[in-house]
Amino acid sequence: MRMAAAAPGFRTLGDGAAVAWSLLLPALCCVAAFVIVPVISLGLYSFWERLPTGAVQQVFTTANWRELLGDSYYAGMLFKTLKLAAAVTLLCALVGYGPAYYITLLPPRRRAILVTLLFLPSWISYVVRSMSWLPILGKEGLLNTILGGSGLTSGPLPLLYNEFSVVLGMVQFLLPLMIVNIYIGLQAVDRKLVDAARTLGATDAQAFFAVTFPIAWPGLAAGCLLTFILAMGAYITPQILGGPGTSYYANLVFETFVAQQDWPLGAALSLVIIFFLVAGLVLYGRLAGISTMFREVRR
Amino acid sequence: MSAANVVLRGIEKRYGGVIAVAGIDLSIAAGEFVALLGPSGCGKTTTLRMIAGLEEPTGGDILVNGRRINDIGVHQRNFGMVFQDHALFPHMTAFDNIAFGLKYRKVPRPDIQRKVRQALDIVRLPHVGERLPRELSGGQQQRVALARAIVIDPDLLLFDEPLSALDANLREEMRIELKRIHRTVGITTVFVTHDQGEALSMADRVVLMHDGRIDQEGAPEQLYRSPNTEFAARFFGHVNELGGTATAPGLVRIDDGTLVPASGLNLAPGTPVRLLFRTERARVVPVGPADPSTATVQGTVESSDYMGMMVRYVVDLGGRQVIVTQAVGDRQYRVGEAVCVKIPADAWMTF
Amino acid sequence: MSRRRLFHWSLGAITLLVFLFMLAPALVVVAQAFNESPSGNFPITGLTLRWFAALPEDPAIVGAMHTSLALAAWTSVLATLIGTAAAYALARFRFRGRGQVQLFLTVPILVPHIVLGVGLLLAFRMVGLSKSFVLLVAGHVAITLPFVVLTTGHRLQAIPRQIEDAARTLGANRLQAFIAITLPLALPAILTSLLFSFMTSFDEVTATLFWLPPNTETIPSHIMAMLQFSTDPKIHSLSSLLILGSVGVAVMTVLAVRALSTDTQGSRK
Repeated sequence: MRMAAAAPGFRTLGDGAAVAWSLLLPALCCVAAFVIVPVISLGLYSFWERLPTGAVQQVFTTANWRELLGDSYYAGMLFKTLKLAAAVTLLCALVGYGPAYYITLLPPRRRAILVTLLFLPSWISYVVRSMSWLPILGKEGLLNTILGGSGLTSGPLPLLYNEFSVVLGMVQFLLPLMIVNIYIGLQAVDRKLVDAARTLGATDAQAFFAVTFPIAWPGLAAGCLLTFILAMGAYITPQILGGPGTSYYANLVFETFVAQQDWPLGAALSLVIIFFLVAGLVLYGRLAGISTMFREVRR
Repeated sequence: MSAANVVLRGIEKRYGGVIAVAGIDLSIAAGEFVALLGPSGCGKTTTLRMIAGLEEPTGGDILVNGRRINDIGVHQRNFGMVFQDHALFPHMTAFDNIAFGLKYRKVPRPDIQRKVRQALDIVRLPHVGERLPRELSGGQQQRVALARAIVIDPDLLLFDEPLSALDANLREEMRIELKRIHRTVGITTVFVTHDQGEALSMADRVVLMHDGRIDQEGAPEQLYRSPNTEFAARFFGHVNELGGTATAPGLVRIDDGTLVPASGLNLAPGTPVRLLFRTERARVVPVGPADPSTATVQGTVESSDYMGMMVRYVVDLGGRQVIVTQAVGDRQYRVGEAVCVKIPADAWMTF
Repeated sequence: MSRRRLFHWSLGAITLLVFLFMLAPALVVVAQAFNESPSGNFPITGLTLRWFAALPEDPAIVGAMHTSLALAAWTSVLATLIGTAAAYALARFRFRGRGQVQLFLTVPILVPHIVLGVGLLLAFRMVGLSKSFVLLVAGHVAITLPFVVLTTGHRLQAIPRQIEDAARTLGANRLQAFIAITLPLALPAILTSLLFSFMTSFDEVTATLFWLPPNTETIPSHIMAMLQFSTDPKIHSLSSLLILGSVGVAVMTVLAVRALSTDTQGSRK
């Protein structure tokens, strides 16, 4: 039997465990009832039969899954969304790293202000943020007015209702999240380590890549994970800023569910994306460690 | 102030399969200053917290003035506690911090004023009442924490390593302060520390703990001069070790061949023996003849550190190094010089 | 200029550009809200306030506002209460399964809103319940709960446990110690959770679209509907109000947190 250096301050099993569990119960019930049960419901529904009338019969069938896996359309849609999410994540990481690093260079008081400022846009509803691109990118929008007026272009550029505007909108939406996560990761780097590297002969750039970047990696990884997950589930931005050809997985689910009223198929589609994300999470966990993710998500 | 006596009977604390405190029996007399001393993980803090009521013993009884208090809640025990990081409420002034306990005892307003002023006077901080904790220095914070604990007229004062977070000079000062306050106020005190100097200088009685049990307890000199276990011996000061074999009662031949008198040692000839001695019991002297009542071992000075009143020599005795501290005499020994180390026959500790 | 300073300045310039990129569209919308021209396009022909004045006249907008505010209020209060209780339990008690519980409560963040929207609706249907305000609140609480747990949890863990212990040795029982000591110190995080969950609920639309009972709309869902008739100029004034409201709440939160914050150690740095 080991001797414990008991951590003072914790009440252990028996010392008020009842109080602990009663405090946790409402939260646990909420998650169980409003998150876990829905996912299970999705599972059940995906195996039920949809009659041509549109009603759902609780008869077991694998028809939905066979359609889903058989028709390459769905796989294609998933893949297309994946590409979008990857592109958006990459862009956010590239564009966001600079500002995140810049914040760490500032004195502490300025830092707080800048982080707040950076977060300000994210308090604005994402519907508003998405639609705010419309007057800018439209044929008679701000950009085209300026470009046309200054003679740089002969006709209006098609900046809107295509993949370009969707990616733009999503990057704008997800950038603050990425920046904050990278910033948190960078904060974990002790300045003294960088100094040590430089006294040992490394240039600024070398010290960055050898010391700072690796240690700050969990922040970037967490940012990428969150950004990717949110991008995969993108519905509003493609809906507002997209056009023909910019329908992604979430739009597909919406279509299937609402327009086609095919609930079982919609359920199956939803499950697929969950599996996919869980797989991504497991992969991330292997690569970066689950505990670091939770440390970074906490702000 | 009513000081209480405390009795711990068979106190045990388990966390699942892990035993933090393995059965403690201890009696503390009213007004006594007892130090719970030991390395981290020995169970001293857990024991203190059990007395306070912040942890529940999984076995045993705690009795205060003869009454079993195991089932009495923390807030009803009336013990004052001072924590390692002062644990002052950061959003309240020093005055409000100290008054906190009085409010829960429904002490009327004018009395609160008076008592808080009194407590601040005892800790010699009469003017800091309106300051917030973050506006006070480390020493001041700790003293306000002490005032907060005393003002409620506790039956017992519990200290959980209160000086560890302070720097060395401040610690010295606070030690003296605490002793003075204890003499003035006379409350039974249990003081947890890992610092042997603190325990020896402050306590009426030292309780040395190890792996969840009491290793030895007694007055400071007793523990220092007559340790019962090797653990106790090594815990205080620095201890040198020499190996050898017993040859006759009271006589040991140590590894380099020298015959060494060791009073009180009665082992069968040929038994291997480890001889321990404290640095200040030995003396470095010039090479000279041996003398039957004192061990005289030859060696070379490895280093000498001048420490003001004392000098510390590291002497190489044929492969084994020993440390000797002695007063700076007329003679100083240089590095590389051949010397003898003399150890009186009664300085040896064996276990 | 030394290379170091050049680097510093270029990085600062990039940061400024990024910030403009994130904020500029909102400014354009606000500008458009004052635009005389009903098409909502450039160039700006004149300045007017009539698109703002028209807002309270529109019953659909007023109704949506009521719904959104009520929903957000319920959500934020419930989520903050439930989440703070759970966070306190996780921060102060040690018990078997603590790590798993923490994981369990944070997992909902990773469920895409579209999935949650579909799933919760199905679950309700399976139990025979139809779309209702309760469904909306349930869903919104599920979405915001993990953030509350994380935010208040973080702050609660930063408060040294010894402070509560000290209060208890001085005569306060657990509840009194919580109210007198922990609560004031945790207030910044609780306030942030409250306001953040309010804003999140107000803005939520993807999942909400699945849960709206007939003839009910929230402000974001109404905006989505308005976008289908893209010529309605009230869309800009409504969005401007939202922007101003959001920014206002954000600034208020920061200021309030600043004002309430006491260093949890109470020590001089």
